[in-house]
Amino acid sequence: MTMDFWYAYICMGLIYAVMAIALNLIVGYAGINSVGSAAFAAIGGYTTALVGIHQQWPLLPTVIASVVVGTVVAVALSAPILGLAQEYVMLITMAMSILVSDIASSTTSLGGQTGLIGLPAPQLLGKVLLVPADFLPLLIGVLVLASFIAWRLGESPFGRLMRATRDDDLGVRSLGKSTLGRKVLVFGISCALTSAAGALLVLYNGLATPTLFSLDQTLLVFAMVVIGGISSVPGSIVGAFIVVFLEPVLQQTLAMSPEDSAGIRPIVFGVALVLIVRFRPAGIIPERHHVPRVRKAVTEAPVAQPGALTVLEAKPAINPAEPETAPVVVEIRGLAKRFGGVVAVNGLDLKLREGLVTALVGANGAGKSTVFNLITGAIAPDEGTVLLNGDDITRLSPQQVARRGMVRSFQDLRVFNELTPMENVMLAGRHHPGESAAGVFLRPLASRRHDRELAEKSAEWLEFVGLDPAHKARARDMSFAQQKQVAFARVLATEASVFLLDEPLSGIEGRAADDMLTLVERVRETGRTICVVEHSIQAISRLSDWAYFMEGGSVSAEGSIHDLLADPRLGEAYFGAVS
Amino acid sequence: MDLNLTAQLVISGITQGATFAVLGLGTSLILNVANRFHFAYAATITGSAFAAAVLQRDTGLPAVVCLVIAIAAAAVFGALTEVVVYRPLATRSGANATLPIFVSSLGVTLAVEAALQYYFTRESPTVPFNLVGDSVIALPFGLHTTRLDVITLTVCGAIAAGAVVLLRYSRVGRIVRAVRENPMMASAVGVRPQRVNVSILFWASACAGLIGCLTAAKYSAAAGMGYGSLFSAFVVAFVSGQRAPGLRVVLVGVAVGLVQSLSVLFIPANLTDLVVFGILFVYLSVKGLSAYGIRLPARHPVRLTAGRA
Repeated sequence: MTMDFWYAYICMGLIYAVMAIALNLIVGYAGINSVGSAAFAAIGGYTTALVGIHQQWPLLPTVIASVVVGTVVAVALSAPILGLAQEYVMLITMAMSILVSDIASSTTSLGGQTGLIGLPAPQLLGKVLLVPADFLPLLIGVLVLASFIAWRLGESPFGRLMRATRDDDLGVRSLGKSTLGRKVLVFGISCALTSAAGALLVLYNGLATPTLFSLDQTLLVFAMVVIGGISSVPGSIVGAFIVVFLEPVLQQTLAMSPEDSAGIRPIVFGVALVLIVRFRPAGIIPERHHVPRVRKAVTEAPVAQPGALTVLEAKPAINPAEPETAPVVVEIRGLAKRFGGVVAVNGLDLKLREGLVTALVGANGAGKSTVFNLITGAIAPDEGTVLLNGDDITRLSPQQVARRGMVRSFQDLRVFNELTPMENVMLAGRHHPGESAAGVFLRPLASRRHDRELAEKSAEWLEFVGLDPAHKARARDMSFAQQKQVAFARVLATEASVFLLDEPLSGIEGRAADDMLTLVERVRETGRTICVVEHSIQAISRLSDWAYFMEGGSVSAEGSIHDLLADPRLGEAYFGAVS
Repeated sequence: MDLNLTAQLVISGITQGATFAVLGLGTSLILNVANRFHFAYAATITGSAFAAAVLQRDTGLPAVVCLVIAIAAAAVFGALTEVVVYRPLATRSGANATLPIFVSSLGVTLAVEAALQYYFTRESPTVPFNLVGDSVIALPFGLHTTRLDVITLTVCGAIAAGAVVLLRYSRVGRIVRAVRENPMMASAVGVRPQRVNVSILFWASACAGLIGCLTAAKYSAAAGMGYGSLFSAFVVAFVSGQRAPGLRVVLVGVAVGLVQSLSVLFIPANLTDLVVFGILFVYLSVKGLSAYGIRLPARHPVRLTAGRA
């Protein structure tokens, strides 16, 4: 067995590692389930072949041209659907994989079934690349570059934001961050790397054929990512080499013919995919990422009970005895929303006044949470107007509403499960240079400095809600009450002027519930405007300065909670329904 | 335009559309009721085609017997995939099960397609399946069809009609719709969603098996043949909509078949999938506009009546 035999497989391993890293960027970090690897590689690969045959450009311009063409085509075809549910992305990328192979095999100018063969051997720095060993420096260089790009993106604040987006897109947008542009960017970077890998595959093999880029190849790249470990750059490299090297190992150990080993390989990895997802979903090298450290002085502060609120700038207090005199911050006029035949919100009028806690009460199904969804842009209303500080925000997106200073919490928490409490809270920070791809590569020092400052501030927020900032567990491993604290700290860390709290006490009781009420009271003391949806009348009585009673999607009464509950009809409507 | 050719393409399109309708109904139920992105549907189609063709080649059994065995095998394969592969992942991952189930489905597809290719296409890339021969039936105005196409249209039409009626008017249909709307609430009133999911995978896979065999009878069994059918089935299911009634799915299936068939008038026959892709791309792009903050005007302006809740 000559060294060239092994060099050949090493070269294939290096090329497929680039493809696996590219796929991992979108599946692992961005949560975009694309099945288009082979299609994007084919675009790059066939471009290389056509340029090689017809233009005979040097290697570098050829690869660059292939990357540009592959990226532009892939992004143009995928960008319109990246904001939709994952099933659509799977479908459109699957379609691309099938079609690109079909087009290649039925187009004469692309060589049809035979493909484009007889490409001239590429040259690098004056040296003609003829045997596998000649390709090694080039392929290693490209893999190092791809790994660096993926590692920098993945381990940066940008990567943190993408992982949060993967966990919960709306959760990120409700903190004032755009997600779609970043998804398209990551998708574009991934397509560029995949196109480069496709170009190298064609250059290395000296031909471009439909079978080189069939849908089965995409499935094998998926196997590399899952076996190595989703969201793990080293995992992608290991996974690629395992998949590629099974073939020669079968030939050497079981004396299989090359045809047999090539035929058996996808069967083995198909079964391996099923077993790994079932029994070791994290893969061989599980996802690990850098968790920002905080100063020791901060972490030694007492925890497990609400701390002092020193991080939120205080505003002049409002006299709750005269709530109707406080300035209106949020005004809702004639808001309406219908889902099919169900009227969820029906001509709702409501005002939130500065520095006060306003409660929305009513039986289940009265439309309280839908109101939050409508005024924060999560759902578009059918009719009505929402004004924030006098500006019309009715048609704004959740991130635009949050950036204007109105932030909500969710009844179902929506913490980012794969991130630590600290990372969850850090995502609320604004204007982070490291959350843009350009900032990651062009302003690394500024990004690191900002991240340190943000970590320290986030530590204070965690202490305020009674959590240990040095907590290293991921949010998914924390108790429900702790997750609730993380979610609350994250909302407060936006430093918004209006907070909408959706059932802050649901699922917690006793001391945890009492602590949560104390936290809300302390936030009110800073002069923030708060609107709270809550079923506990005791909690509403303790917190609210003003209350709206909702029935059938509209407000049927307003006043102090004591006045409302003194009305026998409202009392019956509320308690009758909840009991 | 050659009217005779156009009419001939309409006949082919309706036949093709009937198969898309059946596959689309199965895919729609699997996607929207069982909540599985069942990529392995492609492997079911290819597997049943090979099962029928290889059985006939190696055992000499009558074609109908091979067909029935292949359909039964496809149905069992679908149900087993649900019970052994998908259900444990759905139980463990809950709302985050999309990716694990999808990846598992890719794994099943990769293994089955590769195994079929490895074991059955060594001597020849395709294995023919002779179901009813290739006898041609003459129609008025110089048109024609084949006996196989008539059988395909009749069987698929009957299945589609039966499924539409069953889903719309029977107790089974109510159970399926209940699980689609809210599995937890359905289980509270005695429905067992897990059993419904297995049944859906069983019957949808049986239909896929039938289509696989009919396709093999027309073109021979070949590795990867299920991908194209799967793609068309997904397009029908997605374009029909998440809560589409069965009749709409069937109509969309027939429409896609017709458009694909008639596109031969304008583009090469082997690129007709491009037309389906075009339909899908335009549909999804329009749908995706809202993600960029571009909202299309509502087709039916909403008027709310006070007090109507």
